[in-house]
Amino acid sequence: MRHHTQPPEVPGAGDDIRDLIPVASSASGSAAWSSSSKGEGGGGDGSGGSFTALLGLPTSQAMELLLPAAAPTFPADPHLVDRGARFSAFASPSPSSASPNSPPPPSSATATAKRKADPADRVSKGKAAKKGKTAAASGEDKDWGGDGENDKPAYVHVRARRGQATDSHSLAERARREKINARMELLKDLVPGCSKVSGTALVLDEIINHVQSLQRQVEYLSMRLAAVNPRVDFGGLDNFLTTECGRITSLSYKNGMDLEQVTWPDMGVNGARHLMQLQQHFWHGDLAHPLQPPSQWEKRADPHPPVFSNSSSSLFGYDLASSGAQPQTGKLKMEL
Amino acid sequence: MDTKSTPPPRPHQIPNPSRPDFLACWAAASPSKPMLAFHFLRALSRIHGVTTVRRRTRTIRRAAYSSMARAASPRRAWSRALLGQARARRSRTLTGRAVLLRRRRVTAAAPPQPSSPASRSATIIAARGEISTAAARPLPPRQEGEPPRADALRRLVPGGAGMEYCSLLEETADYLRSLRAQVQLMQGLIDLFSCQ
Repeated sequence: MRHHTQPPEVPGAGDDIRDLIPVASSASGSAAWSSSSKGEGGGGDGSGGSFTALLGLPTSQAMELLLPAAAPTFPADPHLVDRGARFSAFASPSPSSASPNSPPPPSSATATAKRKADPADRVSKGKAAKKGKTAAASGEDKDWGGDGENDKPAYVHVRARRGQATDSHSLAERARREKINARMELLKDLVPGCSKVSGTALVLDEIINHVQSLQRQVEYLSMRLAAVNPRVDFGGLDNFLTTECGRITSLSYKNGMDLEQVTWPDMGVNGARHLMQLQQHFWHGDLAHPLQPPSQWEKRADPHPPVFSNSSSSLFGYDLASSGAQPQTGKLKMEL
Repeated sequence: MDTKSTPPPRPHQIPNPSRPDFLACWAAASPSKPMLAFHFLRALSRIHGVTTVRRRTRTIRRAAYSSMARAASPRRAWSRALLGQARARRSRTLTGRAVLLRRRRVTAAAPPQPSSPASRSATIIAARGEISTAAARPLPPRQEGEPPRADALRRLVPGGAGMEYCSLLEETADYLRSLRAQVQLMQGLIDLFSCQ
């Protein structure tokens, strides 16, 4: 168990502490730290608590390491920091300094808005135990006024509110509930017409209806696509997208990279050749610049000049038979 | 004509289908869309040449879901579940010998996907035993504050049966995004090809 005087979670004072760091960088930050860590030998850093000293860094840099660069805005209130530090259960010498100070529960803090626990959906599991401890420290009924907006810190600070249970189970539950609420917010944004609805059950109903309607739409559209004139050849569009995707993947696109890697090789040499042939025609030659074929495709494709045909509307005979010597349904199912 | 400079369409709108513009605009709108369109169109071009009209709807629908799953990040559970379903479905129709024959044909014709032979044998074994892995995991995870409507959602979202409520919501969000992209693509394709 790490002992540190100013654990990042400590209060919504975690918020206050964090505010100090980006706002006033080292000056006020170290001032606040040093004021609250009197006699804290810590590590080599005289102004830092033992926690940050563990990192072997000056306090401000350590806090910046811990926290994302876009720190939320918090009130620059060094007094809250002090109180948080003193009330922390971790502070080893702080009991000695806490007792002489023994400040009253921060009425100003309670006067400020009740600190809402961060709705961030990333919980740092490793800090769960610390959360329990800090909540125990705060179980002395403090409310740390977090100033309004918490953007997304790197971990969730779950703070026991007034009169709430502070054991680790309820904390974990609360964290989980907040995660769920965050996800519900996301879903509400995705589903149109859901923001007016209040209440979880109705929102869930809306979501379910929306998913069902989208699935029905897929079914209906696939029926219509099946009925599309079979003379229409999708091969031409295929080419454009091949180059498009190839260009994008060549820009080291990270997501789904392994899937793409898996599926790209099965284009086969013959497929790629046809694709390169038809690409220019599809664009009528005037869109060459956004469609620079990536090098991987050029290696595979034949370097002969594109074939132009004068029928612009109909797509040319993309040779389906050549793209698979095997039965087409088999190939289709394999590819898919 | 620089299609890349046109602003991407708003999510609830389908861009105007003039042929190259539509795809370029739509594909530039979000990172997964070019992959989606690529897979789907490739599947379509194969389907149209081969399948009888009667069965095409079903095949196209399956192709739609498969291309959705391909275009999505493999970190997503629903994408893995969808691809697993597709594989199980394929292997269910095959007996052991037919699988070997097909596999030999495929490897002879084109470089095989690196994972497919292993996965196919795995799914055959799975299909032989009992079909879906979902059946092997009957119990939904502990549902604490989870409303009773959640199991309807689990049925809808692929792979939703084994998830916790929290991750179910996340998967639903991603699934919704992907579904919407797929619907936009299909709608645009239909418009494209029907007003020629």
